[in-house]
Amino acid sequence: MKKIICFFLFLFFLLLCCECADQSKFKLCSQSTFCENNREIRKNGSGPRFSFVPSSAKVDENKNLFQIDLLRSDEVEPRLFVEISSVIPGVVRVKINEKDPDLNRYEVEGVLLTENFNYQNAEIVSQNEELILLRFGSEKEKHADVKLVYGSSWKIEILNSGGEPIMVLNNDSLFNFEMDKKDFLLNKQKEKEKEAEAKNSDNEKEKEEEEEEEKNQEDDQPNYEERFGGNTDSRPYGPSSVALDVIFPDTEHIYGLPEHSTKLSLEDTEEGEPFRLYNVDILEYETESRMSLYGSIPVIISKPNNQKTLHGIFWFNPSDTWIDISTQETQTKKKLFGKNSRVSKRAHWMSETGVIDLFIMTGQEGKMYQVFEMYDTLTGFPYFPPSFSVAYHQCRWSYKTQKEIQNLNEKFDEYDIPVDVFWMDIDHTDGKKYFTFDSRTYPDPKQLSKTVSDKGRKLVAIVDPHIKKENSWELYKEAQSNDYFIKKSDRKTDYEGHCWPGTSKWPDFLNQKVIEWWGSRFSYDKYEGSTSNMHIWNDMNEPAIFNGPEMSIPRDTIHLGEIEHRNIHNSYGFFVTKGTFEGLIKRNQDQNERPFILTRSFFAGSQRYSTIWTGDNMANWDQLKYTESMLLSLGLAGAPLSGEDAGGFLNNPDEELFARWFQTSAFHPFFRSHSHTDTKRREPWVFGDPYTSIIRESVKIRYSLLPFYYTQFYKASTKGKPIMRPLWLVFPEDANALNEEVENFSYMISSSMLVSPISEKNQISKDVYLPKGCWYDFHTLEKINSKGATYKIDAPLEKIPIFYRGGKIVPRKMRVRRSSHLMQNDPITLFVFLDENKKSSGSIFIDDGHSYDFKNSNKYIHQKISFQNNKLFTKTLNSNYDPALIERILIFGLEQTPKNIMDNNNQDLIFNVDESIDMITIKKPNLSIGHDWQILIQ
Amino acid sequence: MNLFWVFLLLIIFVDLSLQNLELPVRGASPKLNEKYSKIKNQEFFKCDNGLNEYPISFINDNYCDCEDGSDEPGTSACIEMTFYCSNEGYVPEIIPSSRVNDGICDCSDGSDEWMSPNKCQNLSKEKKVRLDKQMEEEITIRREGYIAKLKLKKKTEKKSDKALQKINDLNQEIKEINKTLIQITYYQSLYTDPNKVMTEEQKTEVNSFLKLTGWERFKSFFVSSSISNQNKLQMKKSKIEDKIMILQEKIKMVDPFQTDNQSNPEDDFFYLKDTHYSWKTDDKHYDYTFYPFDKVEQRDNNDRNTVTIGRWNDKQVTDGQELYINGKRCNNGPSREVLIKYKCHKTSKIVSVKETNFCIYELIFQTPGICEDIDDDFHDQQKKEAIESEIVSKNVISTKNNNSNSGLWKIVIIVALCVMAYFAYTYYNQKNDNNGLFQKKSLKNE
Repeated sequence: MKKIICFFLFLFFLLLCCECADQSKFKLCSQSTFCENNREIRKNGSGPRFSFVPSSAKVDENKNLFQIDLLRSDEVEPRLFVEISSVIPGVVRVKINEKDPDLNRYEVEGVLLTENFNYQNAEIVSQNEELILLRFGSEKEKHADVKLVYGSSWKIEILNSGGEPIMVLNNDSLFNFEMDKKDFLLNKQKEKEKEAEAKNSDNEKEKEEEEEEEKNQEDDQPNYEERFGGNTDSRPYGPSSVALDVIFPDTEHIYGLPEHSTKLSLEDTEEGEPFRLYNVDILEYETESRMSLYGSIPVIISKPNNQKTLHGIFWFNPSDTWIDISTQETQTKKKLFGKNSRVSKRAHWMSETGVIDLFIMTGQEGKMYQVFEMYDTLTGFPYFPPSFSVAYHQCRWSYKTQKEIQNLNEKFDEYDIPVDVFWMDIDHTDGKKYFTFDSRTYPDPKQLSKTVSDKGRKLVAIVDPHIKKENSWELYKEAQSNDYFIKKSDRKTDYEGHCWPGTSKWPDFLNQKVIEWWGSRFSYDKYEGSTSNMHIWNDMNEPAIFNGPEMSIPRDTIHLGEIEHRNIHNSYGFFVTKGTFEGLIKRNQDQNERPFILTRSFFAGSQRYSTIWTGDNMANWDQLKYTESMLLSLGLAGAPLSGEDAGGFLNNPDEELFARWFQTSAFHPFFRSHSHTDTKRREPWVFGDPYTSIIRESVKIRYSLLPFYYTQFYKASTKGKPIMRPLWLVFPEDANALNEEVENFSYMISSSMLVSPISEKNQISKDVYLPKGCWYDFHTLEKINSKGATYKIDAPLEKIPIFYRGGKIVPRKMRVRRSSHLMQNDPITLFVFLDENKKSSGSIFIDDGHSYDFKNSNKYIHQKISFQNNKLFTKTLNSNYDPALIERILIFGLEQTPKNIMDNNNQDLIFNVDESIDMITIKKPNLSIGHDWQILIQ
Repeated sequence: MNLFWVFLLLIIFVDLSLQNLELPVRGASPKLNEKYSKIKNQEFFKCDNGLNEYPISFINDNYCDCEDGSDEPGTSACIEMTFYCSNEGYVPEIIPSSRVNDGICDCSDGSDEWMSPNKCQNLSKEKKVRLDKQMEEEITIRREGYIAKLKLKKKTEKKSDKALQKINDLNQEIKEINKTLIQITYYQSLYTDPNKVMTEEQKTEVNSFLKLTGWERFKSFFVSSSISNQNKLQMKKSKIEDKIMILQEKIKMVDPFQTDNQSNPEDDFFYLKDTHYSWKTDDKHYDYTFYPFDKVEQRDNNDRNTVTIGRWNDKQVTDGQELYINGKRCNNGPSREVLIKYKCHKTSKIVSVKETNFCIYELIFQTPGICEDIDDDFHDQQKKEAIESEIVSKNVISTKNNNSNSGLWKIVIIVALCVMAYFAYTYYNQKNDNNGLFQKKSLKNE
């Protein structure tokens, strides 16, 4: 009996262990020396104090850079300096580094769009014993003012045009710049020099003594090794962390720092774990957790209270980074009445190594989207993927045979569900050797490619960055002979780890040659079986390593130029996609085809090469719920092209969850269903009706909206505007839009549609907040005149609350076909939704959907369509492509029955009126997108 | 209806008097065309739902006017509608309206791509020829299959007759032996019953019963004790009992169903008993072996592991298929099961096996047992049509999936995984000298 009890206790204990097993693979702040130390500094105020050296302040000859030294309070010689510049109008760069160039700290290269900046004129406006006032750019144009405050601890304020600070650096003196081990190394060097002198003096005794001393000193050498999860990080350079506090004055809401499965507005963290940015492969991640996930964008967007603008800060450091967020209430004397407190946010940035390099993007009042344009000017505008990628993607780990995909190709037609792309996960390769096909299961990939392309469909194949260690494999041999792999800490032997193929190595993407080599492997002759119809999926590029520390590569492995991996970690995935992108461009002789790439790992800048998905999510309601804030956060941090595994990658969704997931996923920029190999099959028809019908309907809605979505993709690639937007971005005056429920669980598509997903089981209606204005129910087309209130909206299983916004024109193609390609020549239906002033506007972009002709030879149509004074008219910005016929124009909310409707040739148009929903339908107006025209309603 | 339609059609713009409906209307079924022929010379037509009336010219004008889509049988303007491919000389087809003029030839006669007339060939004739050929082939296959089935049935029936004869023979033999057994028992009682004294006659009888061979008879002159006779009787008895048992076993083997010559549900497939059939996947990764009336096995050629993916559940074959259930439980999943779909053919073999869903398999097995009679003149029109449509559409029956969600096995698996994980973990820790689990502690101690 005792034995049995013991056994059950044992099992119980194991169960407990099991539950927390995955989380324990990843560090907590307390398990990361530098994070704990910097937090300690904050608690005790024990950090080193640095102050400006006023005499060192100077602007360089070209008036590009302002420099000033920083002196540590317990030292005589300044060892650090601050460099301030403005690389883009309105963007201030603050860089802090060591003056001593002996042991260079790593500075990131190849992530920013360009390193040849067009510097703004730097000028010292005023200077006294307390401060220096700097101005970048001229008074007339967009400029930025920066105030440096002396005192016992340095402080930098970035000012808005009214002279008010929008960000304050080092306000709370949390600045830290660890140099301990370097001190030691320098001392050692000096000792050696002495030793050499001693040799010269031929005094052997002294020498012996010195040797002894040295030995003693070696014994004293602090051990900086850091152990975690059975792995030891040698940390040969010792602690080198950098940290800084940034205050966002008078700001209650700050956003960004993807990727985390938390709510959108960054919560205070000082009670618990900080937000962490360290790209890892995490299975079964939890919601509302600040643990790091697959990608990192160290950007915070601040929304100052009661202002119609956004500011941003980009902490340009790809090493392990933790951020503590806190709220500060300060008393102000300005207001005579009412509450005198002002709420500010503080971010305490802590990075393992590198330098401090910040870009502060200052938005002007009234311009909500300026910050995105600034950030993208720095790191690149989102790429413009081919149009098929805007449609629906079908994936599973794995479609194991060519036949299986051919079968899918038929099945989707049988069930009348449109689809554009079939995905090939790891099993299509020959023994997980990427760039190959398994000849037994995929005997003729080119034939497969042709079969699917006959219906206008595409393929996507997975290519991961782990290279199987197999001496007989030509690709491996090539990489090996060219010494392209990341090295162990000994700098000599290649690092080896365990991944899908077994023992593998990882190419050193920091090496430009490796990037070029990787790209060259995508050429059609080298990548046998690949076609122009096949695009690429980069997974496991954190990099993910099964037996590595925190499921990744050891930090003390070495890249080209003796750079330790810890310096670059978060940017590894970025560089992988960079290589893939360049390779896919070059594989076509004319270099004129747009690639599609999906990546799991990402960093700032990844948006210019790839679409991002949120990794290995789970099939449960909670994960569905938090998908929205994850994608919104990515959009705010400059990565608008994103989506998730619809249905949840792991575990089996029930029918309801699966259907609900499709309903919302159909509105996400990237729309793909994916599932784990151990889950039950869940192609759209598996669940049967009514679920299959609901899924079919969701996919068809997406297809009918493709002209609208494609236009948004184009706009994102030129203006950097997010496609999915929180309501407050579109309605900055509306304080209600900042409410937690509104912000996290409703979103806008561009500024034209509002989607409020159902993410709870058995929910059949939802309270949806509609900001002030006219709204039109997507399903019934009924109008709601909202004064900024919450409405209870029906949401039976068949539909989720979706609204068109009054004042917007949405182009659709109602003839949904088997794939988006087959809809290319179909006519357009314009949905014109009038606002309370009977006005509306929208735009449409059309091109061939796959080439760079729109860029290289201006072959595209971009047309603005507006409604005003009972007149619908166009303004064509460019019309160098085949015009698209308009088959129908629907006008909602005119509140009058027209006598007649005429086009610009005074031709009467056939129309009818449905008074029940205030809809005018104009039949076949004989107009097209690409020509200018106008319609008059009388 | 709260729908109020206002029409402002200027007569100048739409000259109704000139409208004449051309028949047949593109994309309309014969039935629909019949309807159109009635309104051919009218000015207006009503939508199928009877709600709205439009000028005849609105039919197939590539714009969806009727809410029910009935005005556009020949274009893609109305969604969720169908297009009728008449396929003169071949079987008509019905396709979704979304496939009209999309650049892909769907109708056999190419009539769906009427906007680009040269794009599609009219394949009706060729398809008809092919269909006829396929029909012929299919009918031959089925006919041959049925003949094979009859032959096999006769064989098994003959086998049954023979078996019956054998059973009778065996039973006869048992009867005979039983007689001897009774005799022995009687003799034994003579020895054992103390009240009876054996007469000489009886003794001689026993002796003559026992001493069949000359040697024994000779021997009895020297050794003639009652004890030895008793032993002999006993030995003989147990030998006879063994023989009866063997005979009974033999009867069982001949007639496993113990059906007493009645026809049983398995008769059609009786010939498959004690046979087995194997099949290899294209990638040679798996071998599947089908043991009718028993089980289906899957062999993984990589790790040489064999698992049972389904067992016979003693049910009849219905609609040409049969479910073998209760196979080995999947990791993280339900018990494997396999649906066996029978296909008529004169020979028996596995056509294909695939995993249609996680741990659910489908095995297509061709065999005569499923074949049905097709008469020579092939009068059975219904059957013919069924075969024809089967060939034409190559309809693949979608697999329906039952969600077997029982919580218990999940827990069992979690526990099992935890145990495994724990052992792996401890092993790992041993390897790494106190790192891992105790690392946190040691850090703090430092």
